Amino acid sequence: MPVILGSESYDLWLNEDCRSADLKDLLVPFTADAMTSHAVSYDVNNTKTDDERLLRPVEPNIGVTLSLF
Amino acid sequence: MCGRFTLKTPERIRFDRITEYDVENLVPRYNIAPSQDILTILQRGEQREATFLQWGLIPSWSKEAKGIINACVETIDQKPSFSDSFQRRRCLIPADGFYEWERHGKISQPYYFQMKDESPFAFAGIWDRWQSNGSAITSCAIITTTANDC
Repeated sequence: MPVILGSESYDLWLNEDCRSADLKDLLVPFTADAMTSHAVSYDVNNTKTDDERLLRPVEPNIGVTLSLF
Repeated sequence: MCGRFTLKTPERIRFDRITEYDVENLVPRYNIAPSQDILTILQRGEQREATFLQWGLIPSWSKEAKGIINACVETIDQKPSFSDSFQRRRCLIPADGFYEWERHGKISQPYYFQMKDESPFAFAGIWDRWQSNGSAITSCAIITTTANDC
């Protein structure tokens, strides 16, 4: 899953003098409680499709709920 | 893995101390994909700037212009492709949602993830500059976590 940084971490992440040990502490999974997810159309597979209809919820074909974290 | 994301409300993104930054020129994006030029925030000395980089990091020493879209946290400071960028060239990648695919047999169902309030956020990223025969590509990767991706 992508690493999402909280805004309080931006300065440290962009600081050119910051060292590895401090940086890795920032790279943790984001709090799942703050996020939501829903199944979407297969149309997203085509990179040429780029419009808001891609975000519409659909019934997932596999009958399970995806757990991100 | 993170292979697609959105920036549907670019007018809502906020970053401090950025120069030459004009969100009015950004169009809403619902399917940002690898190899495209994506918005990033980087630090150059005292300045913080918004710039577009090609998604798919090509290490400066690479013989071919082949990009890697994700850098795994667990190995980022060990892999030659990423360790130098991780130490010296980090960036923020503004987004407000991303897609993940859940594979079940032959079916791979896409899901869209976003904040409950749909607010924008930033991925942790790294970047590098590759040059060969007079052409140059500045590119980036999104950092991912969990052992499954490594």
